[in-house]
Amino acid sequence: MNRLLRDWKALLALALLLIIGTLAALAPFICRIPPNQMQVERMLPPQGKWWLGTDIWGRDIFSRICYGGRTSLLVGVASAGSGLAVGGLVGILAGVMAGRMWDTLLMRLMDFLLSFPPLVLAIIAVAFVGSSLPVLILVIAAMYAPQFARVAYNSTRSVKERDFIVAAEAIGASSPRIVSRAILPNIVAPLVVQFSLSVGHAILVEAGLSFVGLGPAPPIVSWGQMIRQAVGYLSLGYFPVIWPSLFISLTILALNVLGDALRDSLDPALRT
Amino acid sequence: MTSYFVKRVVAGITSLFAVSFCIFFLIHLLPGNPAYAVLGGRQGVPTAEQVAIVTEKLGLDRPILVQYGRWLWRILHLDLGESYIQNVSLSQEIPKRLSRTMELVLPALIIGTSMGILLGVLSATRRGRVPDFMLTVLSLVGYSIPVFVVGAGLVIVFALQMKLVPTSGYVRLSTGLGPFLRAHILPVVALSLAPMATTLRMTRSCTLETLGSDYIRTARAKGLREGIVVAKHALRSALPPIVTMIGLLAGRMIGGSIIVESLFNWPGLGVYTLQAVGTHDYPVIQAVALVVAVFFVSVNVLVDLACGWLDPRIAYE
Repeated sequence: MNRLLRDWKALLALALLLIIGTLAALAPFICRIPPNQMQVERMLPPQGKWWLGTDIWGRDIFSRICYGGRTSLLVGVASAGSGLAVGGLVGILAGVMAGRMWDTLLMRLMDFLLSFPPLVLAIIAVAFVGSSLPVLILVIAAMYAPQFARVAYNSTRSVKERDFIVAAEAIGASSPRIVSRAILPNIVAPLVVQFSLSVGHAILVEAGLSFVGLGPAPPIVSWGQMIRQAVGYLSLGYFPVIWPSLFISLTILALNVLGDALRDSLDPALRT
Repeated sequence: MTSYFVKRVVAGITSLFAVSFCIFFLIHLLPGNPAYAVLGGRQGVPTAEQVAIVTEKLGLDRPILVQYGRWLWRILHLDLGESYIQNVSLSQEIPKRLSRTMELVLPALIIGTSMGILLGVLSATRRGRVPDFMLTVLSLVGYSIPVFVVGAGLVIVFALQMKLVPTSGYVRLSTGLGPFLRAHILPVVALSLAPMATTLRMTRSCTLETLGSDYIRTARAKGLREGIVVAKHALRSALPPIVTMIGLLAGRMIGGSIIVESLFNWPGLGVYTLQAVGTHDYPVIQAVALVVAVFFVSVNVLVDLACGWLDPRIAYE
C-alpha cells in the first residue's frame, strides 16, 4: 500500500476518478440546468452559465457530462461488481472442490467465453433481449464473470497447496472457516486488480454500445450516446464531441493506470 | 507435428459445431413464433391460417434437432437463408458486406500488430530511457481511448481541418486507387491503434523477460551482433504469447469494426448487423454471428498452428 501512495501516476489517476465520481454522484446538486432541457442557445462554445457550451439541441453539455458519468460509472461498477461476486464465488468453489472434471469443464467454458469478442457478444445479447440499464449491466457482468472465475480459481488452487492450509485442515478447521479465514485473504489482491481493470473495460463496452445506438435509450444520458448524437454535426462545431470524448478517455485511462499500479503493489510477481 | 496439426483443426471444427448449435438455439429461445416475425413485416395481424402455413414452410413444427440438422445442412451448402426484411439471399449479401469489413480489419490488423511488435522490441531494448517511456505512455493511451474517439479525432484533424480525406463513406477500388485509399485510410488507422497498443505492451514485457535469460547472455558472449540477438534469439521465443494475443485481437477488431463502420458510414458487415438488430431481422444476426464465429475459430486454429511452429515444444505436448 505504501508503494501505491508513493506512485504519483496512481495518485493522479485516483484524484481524477474522485473528481469524476463526485461530479457524477452529485450531478443533481451541481448542475443547475437539467441534462435534457433544450434551449434556443445551440452549439455555444463554453461561456457564462454553460461551462462547457451547448450541443446541437441547445442542451447544457456540462450537465450532460455529469449525468452521463452516472450511467458510465454505474454500468462499470455494477457490472464489474456482479461479475466479481458471481465469478469469484464460482472460481473459489471450483478451486476448493478441484477435481479433474471440474477443472476441465470450467476452464473449457471460461476459455470459450473469454475468447469470443466482447462487443459482438454484447450486440447479439442486446439484439435478443433489448437494451435497458439492468440488461446492459447483466450482459456485461456475464461477459466478465468468467475472468473473475478464472482469477479466483487459479489463485485458490495455488493457495490451497500451501502448508498453512494443510495445517488448518490438520487441526480440524471447517471448510467454510478455511475458505473465509485462510483462502479469501490470500486471493483478494488479484481479484481487486481484476476488478479495477474490468470497470474500465465495462465502461468501454457500454460506451461502444451507446455509440452504435444500442445503449440505454434517452432520457438516460451516456457519454457514448452524446458522441453518437454530436458526431453527425461535427462540421458545425467540435465541442459536443470533444468533451464527452475527453471524459470517457480520461476515466478509462485513470482506471487502467490505477489497475496497473494496484497490480504492481499488490502482486509483485506479476510486475512487468 | 502432423498429429498436432490434425488435433488443432479437429478441435476448431468441433468448437464451430458447438457455436453453431448455440447460435441456432439462441433464435429458439426467443419468445413467440418466428412465423409472426416473418409475417410481421407485412400489413395487418396475421390470421391463424397464415401462421400455420409459414410455420410449416419454415419447418417450425418439426422436432428441434431435426430443425437444427436441416439448418446445418443448408449452411454446409453455403445457404445462409434469407433476410426477413429485405428480399435478398444472405449468401450473396453477407460475402459482399464481409469483404468491405475485411478491407478495414485485415490492413488494420497487419499494420497494428507489426507496428506493435516493432515498437515493443524498440521499447524493450531501450528500457528505462526516453523512447521506452514515450512508447509506454503511447500504449497506455492507445488502449484506453475508445476507437470512436480516435476516429472522431482523426476526422476532425484530417478531414475537417486539413481537408485531406473525406469525412466518411465507402469507395470501391474500381473508382480509382487515389479515392479508394483516401476513403480507407482514416478507418484503418482508427482501427489499428488499439491492437498496436496491446501488441506493443505484450511484446515489450515478453521481450524483456527473454532478454534477461541465460541463453541471451551466451549469445552475446559468442560475439553476435545485438540486432541478431534480439531478432533471432529473444523475439523468436517471445513470439508465441504475442501471436496468441494477436488471435484474440483479431476477434476484438470485429467488434471494433462495427463501431468504426458506424462512425464512417461504411456499408460493411457491422452496419448491416446494426440495421438487423434495429429491425429484429434474426436470420441476418444468426448469419453474422456464424460468420464471425467461423472467422474467429479459423484465426485461432491458425494461431495454434503458428505457435506450434514457433515453439515445437507446444506441438510436442
